Amino acid sequence: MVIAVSDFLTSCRATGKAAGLPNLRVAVYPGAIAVHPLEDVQKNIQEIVFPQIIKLLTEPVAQGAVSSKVAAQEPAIVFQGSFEQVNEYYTQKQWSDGLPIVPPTADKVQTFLKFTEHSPNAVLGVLHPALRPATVHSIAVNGVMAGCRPEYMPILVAIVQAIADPRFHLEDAGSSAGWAPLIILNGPVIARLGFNAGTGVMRAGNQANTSVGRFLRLYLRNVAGFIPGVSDMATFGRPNFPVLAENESASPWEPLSVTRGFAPGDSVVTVTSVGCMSYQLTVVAQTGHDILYNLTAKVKQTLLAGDGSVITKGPEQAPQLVLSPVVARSLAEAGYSKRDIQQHIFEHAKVPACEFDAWLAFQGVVNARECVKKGLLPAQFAESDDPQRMLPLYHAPHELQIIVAGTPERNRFFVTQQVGRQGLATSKKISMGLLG
Amino acid sequence: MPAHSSYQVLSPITESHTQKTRLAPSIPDLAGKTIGAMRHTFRADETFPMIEQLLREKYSNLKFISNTDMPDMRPTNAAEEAELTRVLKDKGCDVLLAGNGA
Repeated sequence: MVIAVSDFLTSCRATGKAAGLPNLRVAVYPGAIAVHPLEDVQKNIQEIVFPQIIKLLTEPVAQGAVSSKVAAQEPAIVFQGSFEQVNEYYTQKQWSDGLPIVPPTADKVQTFLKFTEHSPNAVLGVLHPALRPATVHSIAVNGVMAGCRPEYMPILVAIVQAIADPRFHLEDAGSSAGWAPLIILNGPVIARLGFNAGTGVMRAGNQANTSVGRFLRLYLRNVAGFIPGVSDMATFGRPNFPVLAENESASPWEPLSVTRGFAPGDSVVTVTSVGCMSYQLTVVAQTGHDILYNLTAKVKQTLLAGDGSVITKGPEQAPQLVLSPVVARSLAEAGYSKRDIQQHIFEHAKVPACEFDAWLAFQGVVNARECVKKGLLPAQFAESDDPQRMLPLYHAPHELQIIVAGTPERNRFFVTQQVGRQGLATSKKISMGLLG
Repeated sequence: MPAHSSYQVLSPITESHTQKTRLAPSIPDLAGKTIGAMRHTFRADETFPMIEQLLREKYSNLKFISNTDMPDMRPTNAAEEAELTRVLKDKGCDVLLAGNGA
């Protein structure tokens, strides 16, 4: 049985129902346990939670009804009407993100399906929390709705392959942290399909960047089943990110996709969570050493401004350092490779253990040594009990994802905190075969 | 776009593969049973000991396996579910308390 705080009861019910357990045993703790004094917690456990536990375990619980279904075979027409009527219908069905959608007619969907080698009924994964199959047909329908062009279909397929990969842990995309997925694009597909990689790369406005970003939110809602307040428990949430296309032609280094193991010339999509993001910071330094000093300080500050619990969420993270081309070029001309930068920042973006422990202070776990005992951090974080020992803010140098994008000659950069296990950076090669 | 246009549209969702699963039967008397606790989230390290104490006061000969003596598992696929089942069988758990937060 599950013990949940009261705001998460609907989420537990929805998840249980999707898993075939509509009457999953859930004992509810009243309110936000994290802010309750210990004596209140004790009282609530004794008087409210414990009686529920006993009742749910010892008394019969109705099994509840859940329909047993299989993947739809033939897509059926679900509605007929004007543009306005279709949009009203989709809004009522909770199939919209609140903006008008392009009506997904069979003809339009068919034009998308011409750009993939997969059959429409091919299933790329079963997505949490609704446990619905991610069919290629559903990708086309949501792509039409988002305002994508048919030729974006290979990218949409790769995005869904990424979020369906167990490494991504899609089931956490509705956590109260409210993180948003960011799509990073590499390879010839950027120019081929007109993605913006320069000024305002993440500003809504360019059809490719914007509609593909919108597609992912619609797909998370309609197929994965993340409905705000039901199964998407984002406390605040974040808007969709337009696609971050790397400005490869202006970069002095290999693209992110090659760093992540793909061949030069491959078109690759990487999907990753973003928990928090820095200001679009300015570099004012004239030497590579000083630029690196600046970047290191801001990586450290951004991660410390984020959630310390992230470092305990799995054995890997993928924070991002996004540099404008001129910043990257200045570093490259000073002799720094991506690997040099990763190593330097990892070694220098450290904090004393006492500060690290304060950053970690969450959910009853109070310091690095206890996290190591519980298996939440590797042994290197408990090599001594010296409160002044220096600890890193992520696990290894290669975790820092360096991307070059934005205005070529503007000296800015930004940093993000990725959310560890939740939405861990996952890359998939895009099939370009049908793009001509 | 002409005002009189009419569209026949398709559903953006797919149908679930869900198979109905039976809830485990209730246990009228927890005396002598083994109850396991799992995960460290949301003050679980404080609340599970409270629950353990209350269970021991109410039921004789009850075995409680603390979350600190259980692996931290969150199965999301069949292989991980099988591994959780194996762990619960190995530990002899009649009941698993999980979540403790959300």
